[in-house]
Amino acid sequence: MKAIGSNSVSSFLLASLNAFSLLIAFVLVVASGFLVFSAMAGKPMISAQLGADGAPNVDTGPNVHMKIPVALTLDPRTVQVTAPGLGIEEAELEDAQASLRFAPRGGMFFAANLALVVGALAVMLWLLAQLRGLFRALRDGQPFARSNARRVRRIAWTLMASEVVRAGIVYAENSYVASHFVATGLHFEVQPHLNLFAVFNGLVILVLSEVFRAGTRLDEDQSLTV
Amino acid sequence: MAIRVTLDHMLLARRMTLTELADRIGITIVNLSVLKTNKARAIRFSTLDAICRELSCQPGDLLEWTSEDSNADAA
Repeated sequence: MKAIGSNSVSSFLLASLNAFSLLIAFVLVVASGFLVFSAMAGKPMISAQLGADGAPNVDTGPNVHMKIPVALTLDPRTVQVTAPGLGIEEAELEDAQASLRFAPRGGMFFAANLALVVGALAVMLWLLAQLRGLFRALRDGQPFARSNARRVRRIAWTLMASEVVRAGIVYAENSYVASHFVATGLHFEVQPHLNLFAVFNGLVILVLSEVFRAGTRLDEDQSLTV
Repeated sequence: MAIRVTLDHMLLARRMTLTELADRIGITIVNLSVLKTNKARAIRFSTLDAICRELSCQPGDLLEWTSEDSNADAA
């Protein structure tokens, strides 16, 4: 199985990325259409928020609901966990993550979430454009095209920045829930959840971009050696 | 670059065309043009050997060093 060139893994990945980009662009257009329709109708027809994993949740229709990530601890007096077969009489649920679904009443929080999702989709499209450019060059058998190192570096920085922004958004949503919502039998928590593995991945890709750059230099030297 | 390839002078002195030299040493005319127009970054010993053999010259006859300053002044 060939990794680069025509009819290779790269050409398959390029086709998949092209299809995914089209899908994202379609979602962006539909979301914008609903936004305009909402403004004309005078009531929210679309709600969109980023989930805990950074993926957007979109709900459309006459009765839209928001679904925002929450972190919570359950009151051990109301929720009892036991395992009689194992002889464990008391166990506790910790670090629970869930989504809180509710009908929004409009306002700044609602609008800010919509803007964030539009921004996230735009960043996703831009990231996909970089990946598509990279895989197009690989499909054409040019792994050391000068632009590839630049693209890989951009992807690395975008991944790291996106993770920091995602963690910030989830933290803000947790704070919003903790300060506005009240629940019985559980406490809403506000804790930063930065996925260090994603940042680590970004750093690895950043180093690989330098490998690409060194490869490009060597390739240029080689092509100008007579 | 401060190193200049004087292949054009050598070819002129021996009344040989670039195409003819390319045919004799088995290197494409495109690659020889890169060398002649001073765009090459490096030259293989095997290439140098073949050119010297066909033109009956020494490597020093094909290469010339000029300081960057004099190049800038000339420009």
